[in-house]
Amino acid sequence: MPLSIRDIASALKLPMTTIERWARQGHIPATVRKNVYFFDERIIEKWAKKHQLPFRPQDKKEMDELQSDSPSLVRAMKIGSFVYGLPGQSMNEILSNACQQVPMPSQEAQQELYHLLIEREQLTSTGIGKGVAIPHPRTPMEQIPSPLITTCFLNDPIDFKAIDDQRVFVLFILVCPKVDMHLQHLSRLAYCIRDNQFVEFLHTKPDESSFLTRVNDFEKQFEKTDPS
Amino acid sequence: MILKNNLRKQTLLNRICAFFSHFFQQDDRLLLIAIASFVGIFSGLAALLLNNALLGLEHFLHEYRIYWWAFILPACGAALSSLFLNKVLKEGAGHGVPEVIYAVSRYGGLLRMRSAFSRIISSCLTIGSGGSAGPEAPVVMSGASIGSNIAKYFGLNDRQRVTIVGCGSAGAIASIFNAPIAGIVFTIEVILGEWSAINIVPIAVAAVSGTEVSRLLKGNQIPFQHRQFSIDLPDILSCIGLALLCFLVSILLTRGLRQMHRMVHHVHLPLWIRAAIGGSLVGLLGMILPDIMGEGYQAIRQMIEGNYSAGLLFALILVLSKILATTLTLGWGGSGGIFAPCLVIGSMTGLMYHRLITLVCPQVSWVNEGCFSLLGMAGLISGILQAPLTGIFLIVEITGGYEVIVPLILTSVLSSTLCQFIEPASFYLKELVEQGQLLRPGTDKRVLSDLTLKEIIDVHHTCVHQDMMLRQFVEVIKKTRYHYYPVVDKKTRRFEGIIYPLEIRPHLFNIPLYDAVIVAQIMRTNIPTATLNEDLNDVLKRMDRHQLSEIPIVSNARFIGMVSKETLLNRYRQELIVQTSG
Repeated sequence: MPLSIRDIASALKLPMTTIERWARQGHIPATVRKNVYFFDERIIEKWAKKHQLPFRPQDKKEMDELQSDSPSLVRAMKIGSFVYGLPGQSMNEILSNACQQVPMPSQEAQQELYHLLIEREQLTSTGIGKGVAIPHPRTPMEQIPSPLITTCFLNDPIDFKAIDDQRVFVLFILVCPKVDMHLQHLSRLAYCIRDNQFVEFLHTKPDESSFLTRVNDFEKQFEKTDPS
Repeated sequence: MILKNNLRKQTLLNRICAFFSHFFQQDDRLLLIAIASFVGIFSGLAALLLNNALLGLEHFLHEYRIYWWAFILPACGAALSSLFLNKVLKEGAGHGVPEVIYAVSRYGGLLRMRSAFSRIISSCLTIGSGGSAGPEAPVVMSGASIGSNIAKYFGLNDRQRVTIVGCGSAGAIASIFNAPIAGIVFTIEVILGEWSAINIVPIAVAAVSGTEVSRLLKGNQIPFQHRQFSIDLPDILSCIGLALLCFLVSILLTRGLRQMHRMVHHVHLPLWIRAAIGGSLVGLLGMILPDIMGEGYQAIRQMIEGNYSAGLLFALILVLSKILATTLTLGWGGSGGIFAPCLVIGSMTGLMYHRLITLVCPQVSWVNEGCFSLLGMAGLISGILQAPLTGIFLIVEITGGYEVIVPLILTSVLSSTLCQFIEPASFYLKELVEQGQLLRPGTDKRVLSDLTLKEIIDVHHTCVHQDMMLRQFVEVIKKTRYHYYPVVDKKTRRFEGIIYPLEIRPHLFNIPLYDAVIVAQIMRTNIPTATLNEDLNDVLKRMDRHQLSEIPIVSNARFIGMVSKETLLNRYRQELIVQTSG
């Protein structure tokens, strides 16, 4: 099973930008397919030992959980990571800053995501009301192995041309490799945001663990009401 | 059944691909050697193409050189060359070698495909019409570009591409001079600046391929044959004087070229007219002294054979005229390199030195003047390029004169060392060093240029507000574990300052102050900040200037994170290990 930049970055405890640069410069053994780098665990383990770098890959259970096919907001949010105090005054600036935080496999992919998000916003705003927006590309992005949601709490609420004209204070950037995954995650996210208490909870800018616990509760409720 | 067979074949193919992919991931040496041999062949062919095109153009124009208007020929050649480069291909003039070194330093050896033929055509027009320049730098650029594009085709990474670019350069030099060792040494000493086993093997293979291509198509000829020299102790000692003379001439040529570039920069005329002016001046000079025109290898042959009948004064005039012709050709916008002019000026310098010492010490039986011409070439190449090994191996190979190795080494190293005192960077590297663009592998500059602030920023922090009471701040400290707290404006979120709990420790235990002091009173303000897109080297300089161990990173006046020297040292060490241990 080839590992992605994200897996290697987490195993080596280094930023993804460093791993991507090393792969591009040829300092770390990698194969490239469609501009995406893949790594072999055994080769990287040897390489890390030679270069005196600590290598602790995520355990199998955790990896399986992260790469499972069943939809899970918690898993996608863990992969996508959380950003607090995202700076920016306009929609373009916010999306540009946010895309730099989305753990895509390369900088080119981050750029591409930014353009796709802008393209989508030009069609109609993804601000779904109550100060929440779910920016997402129109077409799935096959470069990523599994769905991800990057949660960004903004420094200042901004005008996102939302349907209720409320200024947006939180973004859930949703990126999926397949259309069906996209719809499943979008409906789960919409289910959470329908709840006003959840939106109030979002206003408190909760830390990662309490946020994920709350989302997990919602997902359990969702699965009960919608067993599909 | 057919479907089943196809499926089986596909699985087998997939397995083979997976095996090779896995194999080359672990060790890419065989892959690089295979690609290097192809690159060596193609760059060797490019070098031969330019060589033959030059001979053809010189032969074609030879019969017109007797006319009074022949001085226009170099002007036309230089103007056409400039028009071709600037208008048709939209590339700058330049020698070629600095561009290749720049691409290797900054862009992992990425070069455009058009560079593979642009310099060949433009330098052929300049040199073939009589301009004083050399074809070596253009073929180096051409070979490097061929290598870069082949590497791109195979999807190689930066490190592998740089090696293959080196292979292109080695193949070109090896082919044009029929000198494989000079090709290897030049590439490693001048182009890559890195002696490592990973580079040397593919580069050697490319140099061999380039040489073999040249030998197959042109024959195994030594460019400058000479007689046997019997070298005695006085000849070896006299090399010290020759090295000194080579050093002076090298500095004169380097400074002359630079001065001419600066002067021409102030002439506000279209580039092709500038090139034509320079070309016609060379043409006029060439009507009096024909030996200073073109690449000038015929003159070298005569000098090395000892058949050149110039006296001391005439040799001096020749040296100065050749320097002037080269600065006029290259400074005014002609296309070509300085390798060949260096060889010609060097051999003339050697001849001049021989005339001088025979005049001063007629009683000593000096070795033949050809030997000094040969040593002069090595002295000039080593002085200008500050690459003594390239000078030594090139001259040994192109003259087949191993018996001169001892004075050759002496002249080369002395000339190169003396030049380094006056010009710390060689002619090729001077501009790159001045612009801070020369990043040799494994150096401090390279590591700092590769690392970005994004990679070392610590974004884990808790912001506090200016108007927060000390009591509230103490509560924040209780719940968190940071050693600094950025202070931001409550409304605008603007970064205002930083609180270091260690600095305010006495206040933290002074309970009466809890409701009397606000955060704004105890925070540190006027702290220099940096932005995420700044160069790490500049940020480090700022930290040193203000004696800071960490610096806040802001964007749009908002605090993003902190960069500390402690994290930097950790990452610097990892980066250095990864970059240098292969």
